[in-house]
Amino acid sequence: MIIQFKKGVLELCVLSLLKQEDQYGYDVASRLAQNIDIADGSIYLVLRRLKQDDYVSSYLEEASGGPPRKYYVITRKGERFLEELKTDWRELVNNVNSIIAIGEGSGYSQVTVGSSLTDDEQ
Amino acid sequence: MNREQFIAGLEKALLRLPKADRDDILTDFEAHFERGIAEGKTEEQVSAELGNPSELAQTYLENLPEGAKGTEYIPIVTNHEPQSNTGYTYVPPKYESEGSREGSSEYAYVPPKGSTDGSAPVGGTLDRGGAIAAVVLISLFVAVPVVSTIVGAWFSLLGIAIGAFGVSTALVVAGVAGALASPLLCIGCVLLSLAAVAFGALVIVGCVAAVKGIVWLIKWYVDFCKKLINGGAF
Repeated sequence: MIIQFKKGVLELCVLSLLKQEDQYGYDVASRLAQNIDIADGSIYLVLRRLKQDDYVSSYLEEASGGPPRKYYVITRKGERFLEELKTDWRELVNNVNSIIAIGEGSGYSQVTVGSSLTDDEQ
Repeated sequence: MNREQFIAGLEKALLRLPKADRDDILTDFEAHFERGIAEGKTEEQVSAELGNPSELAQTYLENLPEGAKGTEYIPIVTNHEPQSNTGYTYVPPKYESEGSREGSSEYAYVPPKGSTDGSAPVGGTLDRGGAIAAVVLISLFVAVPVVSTIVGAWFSLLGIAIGAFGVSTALVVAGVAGALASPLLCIGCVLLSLAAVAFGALVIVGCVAAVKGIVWLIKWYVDFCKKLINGGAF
């Protein structure tokens, strides 16, 4: 199944993993692949983009008998961006769930996920 | 495909990038293969997990910022079933972004599997070195002679205009000189003189317009050269 995601979702996932632990690109890809069916290759492109935007930094570690491996670390700026992404994500999920609830006839109930409730809707 | 095929495919698809960027990306994927194989996977397995190299490259290239800090969409391509929605293509608008996603469009663009969508370069890509060589050759042997000819012709026209003004002046002088002898001749000369002035003015106007055309032509050519060097599709 082809899944189309808003760019932010993949970045959100990658940054979340990196916040928890600095790691190699391979490990980010493996962990994501456990939960989402994606082409592992796209992870490296996302990491590259995040690095260009200074949300993530990397350093090379020489590996014996192979190409140097990149170790990725989330930056302070990246952590702030991650918080923004999480807030946006929760808001999106809430809003979509509300609409689904309307569609299913359960009325205008607000189903909330996590801790964020939008002020406007209260 | 095996590791060599994958890396070769990826490299080929990324030829339009500067070598440093391309090598950087390839290193990432080589390291991925190393890890995968070290964990006991086969090259085919790792390759399948990574996805299709042409598609990966294509989506990466399509989403290059081109000067803007923010970027667009990195679609996620799964490597299982063939895509069923190949008819639909959405091109996200390009916009400046400082990391905010206000007003951004909702859907990532996923290229149809195994087909080009028209935004890939037509007729293959030249690598940067080849493109620069081509530009130099074309410039030397085509552009310079052509532009020289055009500029030469332009100066000729200018010369004709100046000549026309000269003729008109001479006619006025002749007319005035012969005014006493024959008024008719005088009038004739003056009229001819006006005609010559008008002709000269017309040619001058043409020259001014031609300058715009020449400038446009030069700009177009410079643009063309830039595109060629940067590997754009045209």
